Amino acid sequence: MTDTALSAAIHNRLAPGEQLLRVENLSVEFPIKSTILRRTLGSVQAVAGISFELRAGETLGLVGESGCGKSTTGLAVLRLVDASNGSITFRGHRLSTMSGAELRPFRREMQIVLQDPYSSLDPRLTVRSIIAEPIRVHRLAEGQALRDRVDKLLELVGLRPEHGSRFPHEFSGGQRQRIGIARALALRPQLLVLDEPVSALDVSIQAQIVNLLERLQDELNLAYLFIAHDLSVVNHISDRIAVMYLGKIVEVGSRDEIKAGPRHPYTKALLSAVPIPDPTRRGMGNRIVLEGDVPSPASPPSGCRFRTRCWKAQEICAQVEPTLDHEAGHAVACHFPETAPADS
Amino acid sequence: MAAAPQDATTAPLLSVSDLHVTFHGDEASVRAVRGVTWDIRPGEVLGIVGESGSGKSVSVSSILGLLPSPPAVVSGGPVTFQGRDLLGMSERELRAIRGKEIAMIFQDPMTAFNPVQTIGRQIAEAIRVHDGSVSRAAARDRSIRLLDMVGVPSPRARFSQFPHEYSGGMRQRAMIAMAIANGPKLLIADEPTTALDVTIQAQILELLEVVREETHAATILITHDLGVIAEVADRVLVMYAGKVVESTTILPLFQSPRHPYTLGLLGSLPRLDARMDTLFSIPGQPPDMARVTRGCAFAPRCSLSRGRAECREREPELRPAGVGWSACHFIDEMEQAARKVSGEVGMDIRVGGE
Amino acid sequence: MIRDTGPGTGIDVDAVVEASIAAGEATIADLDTDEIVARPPRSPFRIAVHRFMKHRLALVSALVVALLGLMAVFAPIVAPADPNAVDLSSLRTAPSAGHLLGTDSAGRDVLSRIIYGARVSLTVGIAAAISAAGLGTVLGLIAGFTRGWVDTIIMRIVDIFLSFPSLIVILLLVAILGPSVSTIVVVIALFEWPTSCRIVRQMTLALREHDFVLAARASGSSNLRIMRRHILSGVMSPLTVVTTLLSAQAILLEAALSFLGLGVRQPQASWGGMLNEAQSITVLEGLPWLWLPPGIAIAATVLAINFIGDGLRDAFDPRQTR
Repeated sequence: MTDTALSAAIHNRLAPGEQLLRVENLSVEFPIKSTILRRTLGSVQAVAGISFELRAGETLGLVGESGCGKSTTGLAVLRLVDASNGSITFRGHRLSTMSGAELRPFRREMQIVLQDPYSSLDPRLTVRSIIAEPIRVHRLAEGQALRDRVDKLLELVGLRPEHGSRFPHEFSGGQRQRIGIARALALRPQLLVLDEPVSALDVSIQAQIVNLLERLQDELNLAYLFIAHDLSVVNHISDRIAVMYLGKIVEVGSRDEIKAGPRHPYTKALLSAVPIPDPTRRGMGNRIVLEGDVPSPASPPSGCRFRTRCWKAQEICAQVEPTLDHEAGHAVACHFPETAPADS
Repeated sequence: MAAAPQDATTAPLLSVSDLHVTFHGDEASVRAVRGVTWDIRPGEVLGIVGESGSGKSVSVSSILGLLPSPPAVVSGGPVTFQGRDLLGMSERELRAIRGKEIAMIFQDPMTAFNPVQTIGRQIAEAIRVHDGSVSRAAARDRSIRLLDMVGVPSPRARFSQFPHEYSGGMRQRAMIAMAIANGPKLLIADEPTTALDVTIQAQILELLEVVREETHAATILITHDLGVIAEVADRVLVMYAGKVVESTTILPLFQSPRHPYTLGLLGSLPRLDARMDTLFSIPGQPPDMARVTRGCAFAPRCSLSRGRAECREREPELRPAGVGWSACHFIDEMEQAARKVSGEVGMDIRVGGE
Repeated sequence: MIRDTGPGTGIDVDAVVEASIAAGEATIADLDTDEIVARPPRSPFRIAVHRFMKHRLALVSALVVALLGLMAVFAPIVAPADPNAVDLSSLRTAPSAGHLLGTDSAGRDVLSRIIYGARVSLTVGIAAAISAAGLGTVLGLIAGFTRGWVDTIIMRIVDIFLSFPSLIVILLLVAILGPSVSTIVVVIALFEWPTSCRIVRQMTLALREHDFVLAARASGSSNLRIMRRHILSGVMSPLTVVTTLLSAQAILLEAALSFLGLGVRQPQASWGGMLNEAQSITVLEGLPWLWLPPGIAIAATVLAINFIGDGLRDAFDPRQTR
């Protein structure tokens, strides 16, 4: 396909709701190497065959605890980490098999916002240079046009053009995240992967950034893959939520479906574990406390990976891995899913 | 759930009076704690809530003499524990209290444990350091029982394991075991669950409750998470920029908060139990503690202040507000402020509202 | 207004942004940004300079080296006499009014030779250090960033170079290739580059784990671009320190070579060459003005450069306590 034809095909924007990204059976493995001879001893499946889709203008929240593979999924979608299996399709184009050069035009459409405001900005570059960099790489503007574009981006995220000549260390964590967001938006992407974008920020600053992200999404018709471990934030910002455990998606549905009627035992436990800022709800006895710890991703349990901590586990759970029917709206991977809606 | 004794005649276990902590650096001095007064009674849970820079951790660390000094300078006081001033004590005297009368649990269990010694050995050491008459075997037995009590599986085997062989949640449990080993009267938990996954956090909070019931120790819980506070605390201090801005019992804090910062915090929390239109965002960021401000430290960010002169010029003192205390010049306007925040957020941020 | 270039319908992002700014939405209010603008921008470089200034010893040393440099550059003006002018009537005379530091075995003015000698020492020192640092940086960047077998090969080469008894090999090479300033520079550089290579590789390994490298890759930056733009600037600080210390080493090496007669050929003045005279007991005991001045010159220069290196290290990394 010629460059201009490709441009036309992918750079224009879809109407809200149309499928932007499709991930099928994605797996990401990391080899475990012995230290002496550097032989491969085995591998850890950080992501073990997941599928989901993301539509234009929507936020898909990817939530789970440490080791569930959510961050790795985000990196794999952007081809920042290589998938060992599965496919990633952006508007009909299979990204997973492309070379670096073929991938370049697609990078304009998919960008990332990272967790750590202190290591995500190069301390030696001015804010202006940091934001301008992607534009320069893709040669989209230069000189005064570039300056103007950077100024506009700064204002878009709530900073001022004068801040462009400053250095990252002069800013607070929240302001640095804004700069990171401005950089992510520099290429006018259609999709943003946000990997724990507010986890490292104070609560009052989190709210600022969450509000900013919501506003930007509305105005620029952005799709978000919002990766986080904080269920409250994910619940607030997402349209749909996918719950991950040990490399697998165990449940996916709309935000309301998940909150009102979680069907997977893990989702239920996760929701009940979040402390609610309301002392009148103390001691109501509806908290599910899971036993034990998360198993090591290097040797996951057979069958259903959650069975070692699940109060419903039966024989079949050890033998047959439950699958997720990802065509259905509210899907769950469990042999004994909850049916009645949870008490709110 | 055991309720804290509320009668006013119970003498406080620990009493902090006008505590100041300043860090003297090369370029500037940072006034991390600027005059903080509170107390805690036996058996009660005091929650200290604040964001980074509020001084919550520093104030508590300074009480136990855990801050490197220089550059930290602790002044003011007295800090009275069981009739003695902790600030005036020598390092030797403090060491006799740390781990025995007052124990601390940290955010990162790795800082409490020596990575090259087994967990069991370290707990046993903690016991024998404070009571030389306990034999090795007795200390070992007690440690194993403690590990069992805090829910570490196979405690006998785990006794001889190293910290890196424990998972994060288990390490936290082991740290709690070490903290309660000598039956402290006061337990200080500094962000004990912040680094943990939420399902593990639930386990640890449950454990802390069990510990409280078994040991009747008072607990100071330092956190930024209002949800955790709501679950566990009897009384709450809200700290901002080195001072206490609100102090009250648990239910009134959520039902009728009396400080604009508390209101802002409540409004900025995304809620699982309610639908919010948008989050309330407190504008700006916490102040640079190296630069001493005149007037109220929260004023630049305060929606109630609206730039009024009193806020800029006079630092508000803690005054009675409802059943608690608040450091604000305009406590009587709190009702309007609460309604305004609730309006923006799309739900009543106060518990017991709609 | 910048239009979204490219075919196809696009959201006019600029219009959206303009409208948003015009609406002055209150959801974004960042009051402290005013304060930031009030101060001048402080780049990490300026902060380092500011810290360096506080290190008095380093500052004085920097002054000393600067003066030496000036002296070397303006030697013809500063030196009282032609360094190669032979005066057979005053051989090995003690310091006097006409010759402030006396004369050497060929009747040449010692002071002038010291002044001109600075040229050789400083040239060799700086040129060798920069070449070594340059080579080391390029290889270190490549090794640290690309890793894999390229890294392994480069590090094995570094190990090989480091295992040579450098002084002996330098002597051999210079003896074979014939002494001249350029030969000496090349040979010294050849033995100094592994140090900087290792350090640059170490820094590169650390820097490439930072999130901003990940973000750059996500933007589509090529490896080369990332190395150039992000890693190189991060590596500059320790590199500067290392280069400074390498130049001190180079000066010492050059002096050693000249002392052994394998350095800069006579009659060109060089400090090491002047020390050559000190090989006899008579000179050592009776004619101190022949060897003390060059000895002190070398020592002072190397010491000053080392202090500057200390100052630089503290300036870039204040966590190292004095």
